Amino acid sequence: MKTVNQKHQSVDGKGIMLGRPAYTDDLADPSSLIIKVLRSPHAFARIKSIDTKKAEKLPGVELVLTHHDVPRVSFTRAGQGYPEPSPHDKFVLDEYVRYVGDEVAVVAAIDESVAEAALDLIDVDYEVIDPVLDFEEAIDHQSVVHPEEGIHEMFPIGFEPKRNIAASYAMDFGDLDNAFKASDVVVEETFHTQAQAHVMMEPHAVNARLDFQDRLLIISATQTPFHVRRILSQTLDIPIEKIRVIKPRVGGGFGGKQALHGEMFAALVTMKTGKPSKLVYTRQEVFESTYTRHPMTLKVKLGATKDGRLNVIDWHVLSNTGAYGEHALTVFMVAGSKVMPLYNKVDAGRFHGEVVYTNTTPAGAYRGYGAIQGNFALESAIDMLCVKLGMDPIAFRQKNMMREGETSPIFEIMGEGTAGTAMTMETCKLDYCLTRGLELIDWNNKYPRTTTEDGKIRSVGMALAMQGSGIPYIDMGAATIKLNDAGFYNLTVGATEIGQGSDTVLSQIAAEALGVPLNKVIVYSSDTDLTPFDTGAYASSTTYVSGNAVYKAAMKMREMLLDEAAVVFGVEGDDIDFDGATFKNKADGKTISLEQLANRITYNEDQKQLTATSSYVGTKSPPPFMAGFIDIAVDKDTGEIDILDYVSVVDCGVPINPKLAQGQVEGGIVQGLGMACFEEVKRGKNGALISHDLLNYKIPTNVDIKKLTTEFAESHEASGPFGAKSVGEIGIDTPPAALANALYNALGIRLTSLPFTAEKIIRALHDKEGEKTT
Amino acid sequence: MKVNLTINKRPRTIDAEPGDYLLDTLRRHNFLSVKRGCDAASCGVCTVLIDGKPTLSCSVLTARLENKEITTVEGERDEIEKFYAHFGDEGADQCGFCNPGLALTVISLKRTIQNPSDDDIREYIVANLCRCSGYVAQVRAIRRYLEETS
Amino acid sequence: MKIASLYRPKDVEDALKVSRESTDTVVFGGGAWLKLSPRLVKRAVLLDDMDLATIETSDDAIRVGAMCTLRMVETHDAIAAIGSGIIVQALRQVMGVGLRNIATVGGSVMGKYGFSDVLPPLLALDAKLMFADAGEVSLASFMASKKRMNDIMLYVTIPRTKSVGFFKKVSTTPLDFSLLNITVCKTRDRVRVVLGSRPGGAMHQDVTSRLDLNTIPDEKTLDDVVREVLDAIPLGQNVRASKLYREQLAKTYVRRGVKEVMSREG
Repeated sequence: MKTVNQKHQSVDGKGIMLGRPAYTDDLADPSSLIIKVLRSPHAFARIKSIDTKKAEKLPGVELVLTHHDVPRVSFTRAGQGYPEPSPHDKFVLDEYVRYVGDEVAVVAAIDESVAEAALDLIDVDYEVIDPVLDFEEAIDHQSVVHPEEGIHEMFPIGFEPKRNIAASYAMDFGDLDNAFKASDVVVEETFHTQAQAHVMMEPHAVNARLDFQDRLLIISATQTPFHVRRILSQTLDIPIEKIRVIKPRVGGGFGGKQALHGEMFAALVTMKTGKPSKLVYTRQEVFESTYTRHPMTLKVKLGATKDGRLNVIDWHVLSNTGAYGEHALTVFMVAGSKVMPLYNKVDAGRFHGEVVYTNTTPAGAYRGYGAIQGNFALESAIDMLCVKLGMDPIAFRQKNMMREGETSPIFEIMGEGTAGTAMTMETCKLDYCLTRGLELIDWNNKYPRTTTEDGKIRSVGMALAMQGSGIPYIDMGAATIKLNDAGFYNLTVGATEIGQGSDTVLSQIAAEALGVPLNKVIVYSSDTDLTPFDTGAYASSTTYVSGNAVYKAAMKMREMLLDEAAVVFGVEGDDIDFDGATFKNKADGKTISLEQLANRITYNEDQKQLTATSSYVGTKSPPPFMAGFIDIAVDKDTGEIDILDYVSVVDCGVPINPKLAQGQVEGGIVQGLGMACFEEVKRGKNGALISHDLLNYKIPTNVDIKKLTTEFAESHEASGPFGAKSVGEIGIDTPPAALANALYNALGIRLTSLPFTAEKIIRALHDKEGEKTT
Repeated sequence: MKVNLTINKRPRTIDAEPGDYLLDTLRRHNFLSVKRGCDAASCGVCTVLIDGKPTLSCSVLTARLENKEITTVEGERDEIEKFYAHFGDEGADQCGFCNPGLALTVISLKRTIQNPSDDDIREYIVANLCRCSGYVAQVRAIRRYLEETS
Repeated sequence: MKIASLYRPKDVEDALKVSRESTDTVVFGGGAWLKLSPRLVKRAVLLDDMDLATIETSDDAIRVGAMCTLRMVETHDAIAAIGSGIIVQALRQVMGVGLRNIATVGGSVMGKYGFSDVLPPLLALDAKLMFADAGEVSLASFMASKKRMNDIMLYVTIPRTKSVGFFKKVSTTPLDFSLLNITVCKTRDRVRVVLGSRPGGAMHQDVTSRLDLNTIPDEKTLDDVVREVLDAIPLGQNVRASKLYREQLAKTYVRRGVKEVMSREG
């Protein structure tokens, strides 16, 4: 292959580093009204009255909106396809505020200082309600987070708002009781995962204006421009054809920009005033008033026979969706559905639980999407089981893990809030990933522990992981390829570049299929007027789903080109060789170049525009797999950890762009390490965030990450474009379990509650020593 | 008040309020490479060079910059292109939001520290946060850039 | 922070007078941390033009002007030579270069921030502060005083006594505030331990009497030193660490630090 699986710089990186305007705030109309949002100081309250008169009188204030001024239409901000698996439990503005940071009122003014001054002039009389802050206490709590009328589920998801349950689910297969009875060893443990913040470097931003056709133009840092268009139309009762959404360059998303955040307010302000408006979130608003990862409590019970055969996986999961139920059911289900199939030989399994409302910052989509929580619990429990069995955790995994050509009943049972899709693993190089990883980390010389020269304990730990590649029968991506004179192409895709490199990767797929160098494909993405549809950048779908659409469109374009060349030569298409640059008549060896052909049909003869559009919807979701290994040194006197290396061996099929794929894995690993080591959304007693800025919410820095070793398994997924599967999320899943296992190997302590701060490690060590002496 | 300063080698007289920060001033004057990522001097994406030194533009009052020389990536095109040649090759760019600030910090590193070790590099750019790359590709790219252009 | 007006005093007396006129007036160092305060400042007093950004070296001391940036101090060779370079080590761990090119010595001292990594090594080296009105005040008594110093700091004087030092910042990431910072400094006649980010402001304890300055202490002696420090310097809890964990860190690093400075020629 000439373009795919080759080294290529991204198509846009240089221009961005040179500072060319690209992001939402760079492109915003400079005359935009500035929008500021008055946010709730209470975790739970009802607005008894709200007086905006003083604010409205302030010179420079154009508009103040409260719940009295907006349509009473329930919706979900989740940014999913339709109908959504998330409950419609949100109003643009509401008389209830359900977390510290929830929206109370919206101000639009001529500049930031006037808008901020106006916020201070709004008088709100709150009836403060006892908040639900501990999600373990949420079900049937005396306070009901959503007491209001007019909210509903779109299809059955176990929605019981009066009990503070946003969604619930249960599934099982096989005979659980018998499977446990047949087990010689049973392990049961409860794991806790924390809320993590996305911390994409670009805060959420949106700019709205009315264009000269009197249509609403939204420029938004979003992962889902087509969903934004639909949800704005449905909720604000704007005809959908009157809305255009442009996604410019986006400075990172990680799921945090799948949802709608400022779009509703900017749309409303611009529709009501007729003037352009802009809302750029402060970092505090990003922390406080967008999303976090769903915190979960996961109770896992495993049973195995003494020869090391895993018989049964049984778990109950309680998940906290915060104040609104965005992604409540689906994140929760992924904790099972993208983890349990790793051990597909079990006789029985069960996965059940609830997703509850609390008065905290809502949880939403976040890279890993449940899989990281589930992976931490299951891969920790597997190591615990091995200790109890007296069996090597590597040998145990080799005996029980998924292999190529195999399947799992989970695929058919569990889908995206509904039943799933049966599938067999056409590619699964997990065995290679494991074996190669052991070599790269030098497992045999380091397991379970050694001592360093400076007296630290060095140890290794590992975990396996899988993810998916889009949602079968739901996620659709489409691409259009247009031939230009001189023989270069435009590729337009709905797929959403958010910094992960999809514009580059999709261009590479098109260039490879068309047989041209990458610079002959000019890509433009995510503009609801100009590009075909795509569900958006989520669910690890872009390379696989959108990539397949690009591939199909390119093959269609080739057919069209052959038809044109056939006219030139006076033969059938089959009688022509075409290498992407030159058409050759097999019979007489006569040639015409693509450039000549393109100019001919543009300017001279048989003039026409060639355009090929194709779309793709998956019929399965081939999982990428990986084995992750951590090498650490722990100071047993202080609990401080040095991360010496993290080895990832990944089966993502054929990496379309190996360097960008490596960046996806390594970026995921470091976010996962942040979650494993110290990242945590912290709240005070009243429910307000303590970790509301980057001084109090820390993410890993350059100094913390000295070495990452990343390799790809040789793998070719026949259903993917040029053999590719997804790679966007798989990297994040293993670090929590790998580190938990390494800490056990180092110190004999089993940490079950993330994150593993130095202080927690010391406390666990003290507890262990206390047990010894008593 | 009026402030006389130089932006990317061009002398300018700029109107500024007493409380204006350089980040806002620069963006208002269309130097859009300078990004805002936080409210608390803690992310690094707003980094510019003031008299050649990397500085968080979000935390410097414009009024204090009389006679200072401000440099943004718009004024370092040649050097940025050299750096990007390596950065792009390593696939270290991703979302790009932190890249202008990082690039200016790296250019300053090259001009102030001779033969830095990898640890020196990491320490110099530690406050240029990146949530995408996982960092190691950045350091590889910086090392190659320093080796080939110093 | 919102700033209504700026004032550039013509000299120190003017600065002092203006700064004492009203509580809405704030004297600025670099202003980076002040920016985070939600208050309205009617008048920001800028000392930029007062020639306070110089470092002067004499045989027995280094005089660092209040308006020197942390970066200027950290890159100064003579300062790097003091106390095994503890000042430089500490400064290099204050956020990033981009902030240290803004933050000033004066701002860092006058803020008396509990989380400060700047003050502990200065305290360990027994630095002195020079004020416009109050004259010379030892950093130790400045730190011990609960009173707000309504004065203009001109410079800090760091003695160039021969010394050996140890500095450790414990934090989750290099950009985080310290959970605890531990400084140990040995001069010809004194061994001083400073704990900062306790989470309150840095405090010191001289442990000279426990040690024979010419021999490496045994484990028992180290136990006594650690106990003395923990008895003398109270540790507390905040969102970053519990009291118990801070004590564990203090026990470990005071021990390591004392051992290290006692093992080296000073």
